[in-house]
Amino acid sequence: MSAALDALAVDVGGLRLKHPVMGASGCVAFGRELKRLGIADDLAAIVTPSMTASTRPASRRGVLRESASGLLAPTERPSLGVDRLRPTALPWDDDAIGQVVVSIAGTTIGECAEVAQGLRRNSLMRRVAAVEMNLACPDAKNSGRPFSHDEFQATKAVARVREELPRSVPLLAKLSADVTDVADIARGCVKAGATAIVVGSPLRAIGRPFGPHQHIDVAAPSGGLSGPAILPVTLRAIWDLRAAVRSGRLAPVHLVAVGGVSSAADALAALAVGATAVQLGTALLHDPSSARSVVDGLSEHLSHNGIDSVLDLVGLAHEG
Amino acid sequence: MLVTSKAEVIATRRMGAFRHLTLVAPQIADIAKPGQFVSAAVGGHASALVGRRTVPISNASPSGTYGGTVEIIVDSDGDAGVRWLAERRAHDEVDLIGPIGRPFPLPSSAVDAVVVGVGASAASLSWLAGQLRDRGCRIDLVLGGTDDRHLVGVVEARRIVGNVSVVLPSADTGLSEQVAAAVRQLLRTGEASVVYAAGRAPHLASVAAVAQPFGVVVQCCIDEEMPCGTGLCGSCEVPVQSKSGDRHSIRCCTEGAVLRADRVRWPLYLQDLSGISTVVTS
Repeated sequence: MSAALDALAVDVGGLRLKHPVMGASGCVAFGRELKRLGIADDLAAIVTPSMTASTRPASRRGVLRESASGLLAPTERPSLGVDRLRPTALPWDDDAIGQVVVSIAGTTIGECAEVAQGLRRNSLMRRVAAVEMNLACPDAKNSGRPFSHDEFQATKAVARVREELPRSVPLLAKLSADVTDVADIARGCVKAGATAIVVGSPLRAIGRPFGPHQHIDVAAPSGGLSGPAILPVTLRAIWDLRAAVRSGRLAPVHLVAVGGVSSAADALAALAVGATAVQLGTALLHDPSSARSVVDGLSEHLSHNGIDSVLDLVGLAHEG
Repeated sequence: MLVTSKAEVIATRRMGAFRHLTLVAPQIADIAKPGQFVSAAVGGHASALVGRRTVPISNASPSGTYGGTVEIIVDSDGDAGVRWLAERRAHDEVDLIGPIGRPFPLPSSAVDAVVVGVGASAASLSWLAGQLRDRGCRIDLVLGGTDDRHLVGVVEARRIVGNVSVVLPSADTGLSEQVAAAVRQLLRTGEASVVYAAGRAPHLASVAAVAQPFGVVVQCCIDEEMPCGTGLCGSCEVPVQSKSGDRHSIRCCTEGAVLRADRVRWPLYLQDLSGISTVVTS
């Protein structure tokens, strides 16, 4: 590994990455499309679409809608069930695709555990570098309130999933930023065994078409807003978590910023407020080459400022 | 293979309500075929437009004075992103990915064909008609538009094909019905064994329904909203069924956009398209 790459290497809760730029769940599929575009190697890791216990078709078509500086995606998406995994033919089974973080989701704590169990059994954890738990899913036994909005339920869900996974597999808990106190929820998740916190999921939103239209039509209220529009919310949530770690409210934990990161400057801001890594989502849909430009930008920043490691940038904004 | 390219606009001209753009994109031009698309990042770096716009390639020239070029036709009356594309001028740069999707399959021997397209979706049909003619096919071409400003390439088509019908909506009959009636008439009187169609889903569903009793193969190029054009977002899903009867969805950008019409589950597709929003005022 070259010195330049060494300077970018990070460890996110046990997930060792060649640089801090990952592809977000739902925006990189299982990696094959990135390979077709010749950019699979640009990302240190991809996060798969959220997998469920059994394959779930969407009840309706999942159309992305544009809003100012953002995209509104339906919350309900079709998913691949872990029961369909075959250890010798995984959907992401391609040497050209780097590290694979498997996102898992469920609508009850029992189902979350079942997904983790199925993943372990049916993939033998082959090529699974880490598991990301999508806690933004509605909890069917809690009036549809997302796990990530309820400290008790989130903690229980993470604990049950942790039990099902080998201790050597890093577990990333993906939380929502639109909660009263994200540090409270994160604290429970870390206690329950999460090795890193990813924040945040798309903001719950209702969409209307961008621009002047004769008709005002409103998308179903099950949408999630992502894209540059939500970057300030993401930065705030990471800031709060880092501040909680510094004040001792939250045990030391690695943070991953997702939501609106689309340039090297955005990634630097995310690192400065406390993230160790970032995930690109909407940015890749808009410009698949953005992963390369973010990594190059980070590398350039380090060499231009004589910084030895990207880790030296993490949390800098809290120092001042 | 998909190619990403910073393409320079070298020519732009008005075509009724549309703008015709010629862009230098040699790697895309080398491999592009009729029925394929390019996906463009719109709005520039400081734009609030995050989704890409995917538009049909109207022609590709692998070699030219400026290198290989692709041509596209965009609607100046379209949404903000398409309008941004229509407003590009010579020497502007556009971030393109292409060629996207599967092209129209061409017959191995000369057959009679009906070629039908509506609005900007019909952009590639003159190019397709030229290739069919070169294979000795007899072609009837139907071009539809919401008004005469929204007809694509009628003059060019008449240079290539003897029989070009122009279809506009009438006071009491919508465009889809008019297009379907024109296709029905051609299938009744001619001996076409294949229909090549390009348009939005409702128009294609009408053409597919008309052609079905005649037992004619319909190859349709679905002009669908594809916010990434690369298969990453999974937003352009089309419900289909396989030969064995399995029902599933495919992504229009990677597994389409040209499909056999009898594979598409049109009622479900149209229901999905109409059911994504609720009109609360007008």
